Amino acid sequence: MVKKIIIFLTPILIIAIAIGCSKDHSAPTFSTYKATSSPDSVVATYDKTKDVVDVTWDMSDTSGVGDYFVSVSDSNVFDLGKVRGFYANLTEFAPPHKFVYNAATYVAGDVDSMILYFTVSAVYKNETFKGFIGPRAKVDSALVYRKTD
Amino acid sequence: MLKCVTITGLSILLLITTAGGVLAQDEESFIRESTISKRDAIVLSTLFPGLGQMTQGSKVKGISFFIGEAASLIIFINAHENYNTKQKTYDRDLGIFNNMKNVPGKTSSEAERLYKDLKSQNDDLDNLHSIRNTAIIVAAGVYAYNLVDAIFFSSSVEKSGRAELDSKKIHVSSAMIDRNPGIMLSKRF
Repeated sequence: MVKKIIIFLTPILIIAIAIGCSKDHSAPTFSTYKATSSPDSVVATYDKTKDVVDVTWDMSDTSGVGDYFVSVSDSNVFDLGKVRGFYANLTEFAPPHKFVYNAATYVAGDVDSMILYFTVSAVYKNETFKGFIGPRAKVDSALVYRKTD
Repeated sequence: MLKCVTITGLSILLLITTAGGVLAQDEESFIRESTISKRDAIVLSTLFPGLGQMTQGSKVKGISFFIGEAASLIIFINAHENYNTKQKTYDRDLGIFNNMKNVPGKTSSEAERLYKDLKSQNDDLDNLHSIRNTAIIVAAGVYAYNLVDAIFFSSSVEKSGRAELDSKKIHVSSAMIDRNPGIMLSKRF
């Protein structure tokens, strides 16, 4: 009798343990975020007369884009520098887009020259994204040169 | 790497346990009269692998089963606890990752960083899951083998008594003499 009980219970026990220890986590997927894209043709130009940097860019697919986010850094390895970001708050979405950046907000008045690095990201505002900042565009640099020789 | 080491370790453990059963054949030289019935041995083996074999006199076999089962269970419990702890962190981070699209100001690079971290966490969980399952399968295997051994391959009191009657050896057994416990030495001429 004991033998029969044991022989009957052992496979049940093994199956119960196997089910109890089943894998209960799934791999993450990046597919949602892959739907976002980056702007292109970012050009940063320093305007010496106004002490501003004009940043222009283009974006072919603007579906879901509600704004743009302009970032500036003092390092060519962008994130290693002192990074600052601004929402462009554009009223018009017709390309090429333009953002005027006042160099004085980043470069102190007594600094004669400095290289600044700019990039732009699209800010997505639609059913899926609520203000998510998409991937960055290729970085462009501008030489802030204040010397009057 | 950890997975490989653990699986190899468990395999060696299983091998030792199995080999223990075979090596136990040599135990006949340590003849000790069995004082436990086969039924009791089965019950003890059901409680924990090796106990029945040890009380029946098959020490090497019993200890092998015992160590095999204990080690597998320790590895299983350790991996199971680690899995549960890491899964809580993983679930929390996965929730943050999936919700990033709804948080204004969250960037694509942040999402990418967290995604890489999540993938690494997921790999760790997969490894722990494999270790945990391998350990519990080995534990179940040792348990089942121990039961099969206790039920089908162990000898009953009468049989083992007869088998151990070897005229060239001295038999040691416990005995009650006038209600006092004692040891009885016997030799057949």
